[in-house]
Amino acid sequence: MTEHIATIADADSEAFEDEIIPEASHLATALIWAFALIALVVLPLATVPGKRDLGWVQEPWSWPFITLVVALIGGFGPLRSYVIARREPGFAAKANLAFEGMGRALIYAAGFLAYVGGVSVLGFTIASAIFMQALLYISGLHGRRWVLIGFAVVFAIVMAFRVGLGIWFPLPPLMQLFPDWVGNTLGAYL
Amino acid sequence: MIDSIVLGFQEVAQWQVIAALLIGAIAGILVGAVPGMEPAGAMAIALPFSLTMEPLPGIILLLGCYGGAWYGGAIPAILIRVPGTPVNVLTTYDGYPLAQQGHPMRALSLAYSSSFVGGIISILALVFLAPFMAKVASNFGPPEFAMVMLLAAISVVLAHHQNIPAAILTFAIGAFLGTIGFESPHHTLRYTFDQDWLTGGIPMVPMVIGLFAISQAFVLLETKTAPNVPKDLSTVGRFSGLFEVFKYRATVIRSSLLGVVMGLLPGVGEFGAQFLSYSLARRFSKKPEEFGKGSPEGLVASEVSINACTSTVLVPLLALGIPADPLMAMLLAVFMIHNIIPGPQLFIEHPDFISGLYISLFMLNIFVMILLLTFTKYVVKLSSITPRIIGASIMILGFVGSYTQNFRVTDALFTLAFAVVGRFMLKNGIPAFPMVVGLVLGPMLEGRLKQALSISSGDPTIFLTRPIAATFLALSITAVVVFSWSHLRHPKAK
Repeated sequence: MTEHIATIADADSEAFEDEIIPEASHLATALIWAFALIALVVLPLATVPGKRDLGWVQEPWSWPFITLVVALIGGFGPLRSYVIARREPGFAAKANLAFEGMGRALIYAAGFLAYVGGVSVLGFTIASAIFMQALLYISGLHGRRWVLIGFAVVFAIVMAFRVGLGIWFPLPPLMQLFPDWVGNTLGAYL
Repeated sequence: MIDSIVLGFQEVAQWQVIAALLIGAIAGILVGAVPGMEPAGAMAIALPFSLTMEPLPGIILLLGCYGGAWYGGAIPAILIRVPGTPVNVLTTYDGYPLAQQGHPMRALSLAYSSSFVGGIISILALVFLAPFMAKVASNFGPPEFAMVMLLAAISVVLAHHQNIPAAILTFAIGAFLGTIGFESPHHTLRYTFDQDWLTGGIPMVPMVIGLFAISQAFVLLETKTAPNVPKDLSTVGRFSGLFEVFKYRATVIRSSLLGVVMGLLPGVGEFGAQFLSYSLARRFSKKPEEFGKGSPEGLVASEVSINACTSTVLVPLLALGIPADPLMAMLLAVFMIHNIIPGPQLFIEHPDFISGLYISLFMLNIFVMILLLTFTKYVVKLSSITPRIIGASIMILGFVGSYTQNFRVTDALFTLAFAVVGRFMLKNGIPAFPMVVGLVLGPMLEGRLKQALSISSGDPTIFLTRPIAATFLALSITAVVVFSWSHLRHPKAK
């Protein structure tokens, strides 16, 4: 084993983290910088003048103004690096790596959105079971074993939170399709 | 004094507190033992439930997730060379080689024992330092608090010295997000654009769950390989570490002191402590050549310093009411929901609570230690759980945590938005921690600054003419100047 003297840079070498590409990082920082700039531009529309004359520091716009100016100053370095480096050959390809994997993340996010909607229609338990199966399938865990594990995990979550902690969810509209006794009996578990 | 201790025991001797201790300890160990799960994410998921509990059990549940994870994080670090939590990086350096030399249980036992010693010293430091700091802080007015908060903000930013510009940017964006919604003293709305759901501002819980839990779930769902842990782990020697740790007394003392001091500095915490501790242990060791090759002393240095921070990070929160990192911000939320205002008055008005908290922290460390020494053989198997099933479970738990606090769909949508943003930031090395600290600290700083300038009729020299405020301001400026100077001299130094 080669000798290695620990430095704080090693904190970045953890597992489950992405390789950081400087060009991509600068692009990402530039996008957040752009958000701050837009927020600053709309500041006059987003705040109203104070009703009492307490000086400019006490005005409603002052603190958002200060924070956004600090953000713009702080992020100026990476923005400058981004602007300078973007003329270099191959820069665009590297910078676009900022979005690598975000498509998958957006798919999971869309699934989460559907899940939120599903909970209000189907109830927590049924929606969670479907969402879990969908997540496992999309992430590549196929087969009967994973289907059963998925159901088992949802069962454990329902037992812990719905039954154990008694977390309340409204009775799902789905229950209106069934006789009242079904909703009354299963309502606490769905 | 004795009265407070007795009252503290009364506080702790409730089934809710004991249950929170046990659940928190187990949850913390699980979070640490499963690579890829972070204490921040686990605390974020547990936060909404802790808000429904009494203050002490709620706090202890979160602290269990936090403290237990640092213990449990050593398991995958030692057995499979994957840090269970980000701060266990250095544990892999000597823990893994030691395990590979045929001493996995010795390495685990030594790591647990070192963590335990560090944890206990940290609590003792908290017990002595917090009341002292609270006494000092009782003389503080708005200018002093404003300058302490400024120092905290600067410390948080400087702690991310690998990407300072991004840390400034995200802290400031967090502080900006904290301005959204209702504002005083003019009672107007900012950045709500007539949207009722923005009137209450950006809620912290969904933000934290999105940034730390769901965004991490996205990563886990894409992690194809499961770590491979040893199948049969002999439990022989599981108590050996309890004695072996004291062979390295100088390292224990040095690492503990570093951990205690670093824990007091906002944002620096475990990372700064362990790297400094490890470097110094190597420098003063009689066998420096063994470091990185399975040195027990290196393992002790790393684990002691990590856990020596865990309680002292509470000092600024309890004594000053200042959350130094997102984890403390979550604890602050539990305090606030129960109308317990951290700060100097807390020690006067709620001595029973403070005493109960101290006793609970001692018990938490003892519980975690007993659980690990007893069930290590089973806990290590958790390190081999398929990351994708963990990711899928976190998605559902994240929904439970974000939606069930207020039963508002908008909270779940906030979670989702911050999850995507968090994934983007994680992917590109932009730190998310400063954003959460900014969200919490920003409005507090705004309020204190405005109060201070109101007292002085808008004259900013109030921060220079009051000695304590001026001292904190000088410390802030010094920190920035020293940091900038060192970077200018060594531009490539990390």
